[in-house]
Amino acid sequence: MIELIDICKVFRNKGVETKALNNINLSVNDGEFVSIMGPSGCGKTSLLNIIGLIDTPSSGKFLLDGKLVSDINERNRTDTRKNNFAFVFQSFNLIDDLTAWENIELPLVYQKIPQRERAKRVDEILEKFNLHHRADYFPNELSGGQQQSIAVARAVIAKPRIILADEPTGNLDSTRGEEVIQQLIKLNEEGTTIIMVTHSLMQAQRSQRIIHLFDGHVVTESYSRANANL
Amino acid sequence: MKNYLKIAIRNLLRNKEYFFINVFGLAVGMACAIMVLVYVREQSKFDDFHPASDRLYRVYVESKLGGLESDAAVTSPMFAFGLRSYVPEIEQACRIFKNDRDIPVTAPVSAILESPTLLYVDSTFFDVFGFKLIEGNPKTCLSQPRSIVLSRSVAKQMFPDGAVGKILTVEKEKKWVEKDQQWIQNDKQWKVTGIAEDCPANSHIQYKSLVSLSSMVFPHPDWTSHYLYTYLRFKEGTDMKSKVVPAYLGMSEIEDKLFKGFISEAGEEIEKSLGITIEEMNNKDEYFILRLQKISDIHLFSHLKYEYSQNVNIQTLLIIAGISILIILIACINYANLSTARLAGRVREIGIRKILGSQRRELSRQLLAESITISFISLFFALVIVELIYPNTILIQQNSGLNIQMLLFKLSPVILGVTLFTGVVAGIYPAFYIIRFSPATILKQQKQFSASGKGLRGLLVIIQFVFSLVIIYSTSTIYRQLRFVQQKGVGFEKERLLVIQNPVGLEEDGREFHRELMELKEIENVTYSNAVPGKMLGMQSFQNGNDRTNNLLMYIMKADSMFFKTYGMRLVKGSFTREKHVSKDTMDVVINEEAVKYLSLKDPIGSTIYRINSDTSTNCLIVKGVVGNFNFESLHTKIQPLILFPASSDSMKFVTLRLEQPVDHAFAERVKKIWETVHPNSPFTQFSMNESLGAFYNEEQSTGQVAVVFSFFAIFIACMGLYSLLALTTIFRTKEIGIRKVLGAGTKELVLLLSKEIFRLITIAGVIALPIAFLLSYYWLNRFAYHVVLSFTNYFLVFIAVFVVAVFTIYRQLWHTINSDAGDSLRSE
Repeated sequence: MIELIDICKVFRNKGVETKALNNINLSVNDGEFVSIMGPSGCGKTSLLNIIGLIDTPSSGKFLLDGKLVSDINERNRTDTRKNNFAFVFQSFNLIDDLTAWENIELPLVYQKIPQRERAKRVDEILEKFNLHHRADYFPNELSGGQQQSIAVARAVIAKPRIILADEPTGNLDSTRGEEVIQQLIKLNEEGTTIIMVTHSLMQAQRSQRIIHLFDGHVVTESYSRANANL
Repeated sequence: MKNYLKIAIRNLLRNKEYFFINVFGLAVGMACAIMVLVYVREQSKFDDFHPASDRLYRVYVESKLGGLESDAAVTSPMFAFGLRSYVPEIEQACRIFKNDRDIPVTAPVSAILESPTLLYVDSTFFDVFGFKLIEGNPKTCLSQPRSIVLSRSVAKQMFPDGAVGKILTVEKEKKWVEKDQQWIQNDKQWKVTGIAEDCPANSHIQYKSLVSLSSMVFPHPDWTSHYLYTYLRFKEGTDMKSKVVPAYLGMSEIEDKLFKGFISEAGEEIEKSLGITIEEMNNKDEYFILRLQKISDIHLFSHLKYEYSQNVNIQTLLIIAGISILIILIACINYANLSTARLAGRVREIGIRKILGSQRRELSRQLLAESITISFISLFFALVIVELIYPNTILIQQNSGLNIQMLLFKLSPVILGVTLFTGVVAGIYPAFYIIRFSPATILKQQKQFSASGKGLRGLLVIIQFVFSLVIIYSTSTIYRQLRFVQQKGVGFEKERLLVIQNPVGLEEDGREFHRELMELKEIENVTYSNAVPGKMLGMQSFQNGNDRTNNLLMYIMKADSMFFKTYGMRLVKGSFTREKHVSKDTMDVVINEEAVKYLSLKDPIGSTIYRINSDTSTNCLIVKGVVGNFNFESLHTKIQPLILFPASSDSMKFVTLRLEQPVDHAFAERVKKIWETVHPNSPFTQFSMNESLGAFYNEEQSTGQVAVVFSFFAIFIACMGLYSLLALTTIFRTKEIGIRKVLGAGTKELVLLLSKEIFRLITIAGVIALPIAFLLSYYWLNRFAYHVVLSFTNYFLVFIAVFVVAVFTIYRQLWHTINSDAGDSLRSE
């Protein structure tokens, strides 16, 4: 499904080059739950951004469903992104001026889903995440856990094939963090492919495969205990 | 201080784009303010160099006769010295007669003394006015008849080796010799008795040569013929302001004394010539009074008939000054907006500085230092803009001798003050905006921080666009009106008319010249007249033959029978042919439609009108024809009643040629050559009627040019405001843009998101600006009796144009923002 071949990402600042990713070769299958781990600055988020078509690689090839997507134009990238991916961020990245309801609705707006259908789906998802009582709240009126639940709800509402989660529990306490992980596992069980960047080995072990990055390289790939138990 | 400056410059250079936008925004605003400052100063300093300018006044005549009001700058030659015994406060008087034709000098050098700057003046000229005499005796140089004082440049050009004492042979003069019972011709000679410094540019009186008034034989030396300017200097301590009691037409006591003297001297003459006494006039709510105006007020406040030269309208000046203040304030607002945008990127830095112990005062000083530094850098560019633009504007064309650098140097304290003020005004908002937040607020609640002031910034953008739309629409109205005055029918065919002015000697050699002209196949018709539309029309008092109790003022003109055909005028009734009557006192005349209305003539053909002459005799005028109304003055005034007399050979001042083709330079030169063959020594002045009528609108032309410059500045600054607003929006919404992109927002959605607010503001501005623009244009157009109607379509087009400019302004920034990687947007958070 996802295949990265010799992916490099170089940042240039004042003539100084920093290689965030160095010849990454990686493939993720449909329905997999993959965790990416590594120390700060090793390139985890860069890798996730390239997979999610938020960022472009400096070199290498990225194939999605066998189709080369690493050098498509902005419009096609946007289309591919909105038809395949959803994102969950550590900092939630909710839009401050929109209510919880409106934040969740946004991906459907961009997918040009009719208004009535959008309303139905947003209400359903709020019900599913037990957040219907917070529908009209603005992000700054919600707790961190609630904000992340809204972010996850927003991620899944468009029924994406792949969810990319960048340290989704980084800003949450352990209880709220566990709730979010549970939600992701459930989504994975329902067939959604999940790639999650995390610092927590415990959380990573809940996934099926762990990819360890160091200085922009994939150093090891291991199948987690949870997967081993399967 | 040094530290502040260093950090300020470092900060400015770090954000080069904002730095240049800030600098050029302020520079444009300051350039505009400086240019207006220079212009306003120049205009307000007119006639202030006379030693007693606060006591120096010009007399003018205010009258209302036959329902027609007329305020004229010219007066009778009798006023200056005839009224002194009635007004002991008069210290000195001087009269100026502006010659209306060029005078050729035939020996010892060949030259032409051009009419607008050839003045006949009293010997008191150098006593009353502050003009400087370089050579000669100021008291006596103009006391003898046939004395002439040349300006320095004319003297240098004519006599490089010294002019004083030289005898100039000017035109020939005819004299009637009684004993021989015949006319003889002599050379007229003038003696150069002095050299005057060139006339200062800031004088409403402009001369190049001054001839003693005693050289001139007054055509009508009476109290009721007004054709020269009278200046009076009053004694020190004279109370010029006290109003007369009981109040009468707002006259001052001095004006009242002049008036009473005038009635004593001229009462009988007035009664005879107007057929009415001053008392009877008062009963009819009519008047004829003398007024005084301070010499330094003439240039800005005087708009009388027969002004010496075109004066400036104080309203226009005030509007220009007001607009320039607005422009610089808007430039400051933009600076504040852009700085705030830039500060948003430095919020964390400022928060950290505060945590580390930086005082509010230090932070605000730092920010003020930045804006004052920018302000002074902008001043440099502003001066460059002024240097490039100002000499090319019409503002300076009236004053070509102006040394802009010298003037800027003189104004430097004001300019530096304005620069400092600009720096402080521009910097004060960002300075206080940022320091009022506590470090915790800055570091934690960036969102709240960024959102505050959003309404104010929007309001400022609205104000800028209202301003731009108003000024651009007003400019378009000015140009539409100027096009209208060029294209509007004026009641005759103004194209293809070449006019020769003041053809001296036409009486003797007229036939030959005429014959030569008629041989040119390019000429369709030739006509002779004492006036032409726009030039030299006089006024006289008449009585309606049916009702001789009322005196009616009407314009007069003498023209031969070819006049109507040559000018392509429309015959409404009767005939253009006027016959000669046996009695000299009876004449056939043609009147215009307006005169028919004015005289309430039901059947005008054959009606009689009586003309009252200055020598109290009357002429009986029989109306032979009615000519369709034509504009013989500018379109500022409505068509007035006019009587056209038959031509008399002694008063033909204009020859008008109707050409087959438009007037061109080569043909004018051919006519000139013919003229020179017939009259080798006579000056030749010619103009095309179309151009001459166009000169009526010089002030509007210059206002239009100023308005164009201001429109450019206004739209430039407004677009800067827009740019800064978008910059702020982008900075504050970087995260949101990133999120939306990640969630699938395409280019279209993002363009809409970011531009929606801006276009909403421009639309609001468009709605607000509409009534203001219409009101301003309406008031401006009111100065014309004939004008264009205000157009919604035109406003809509202006709005669309501004909208398109706005789109172009934000396009690049929008494109850049939208096409940046979503990863960058999110990383910046």
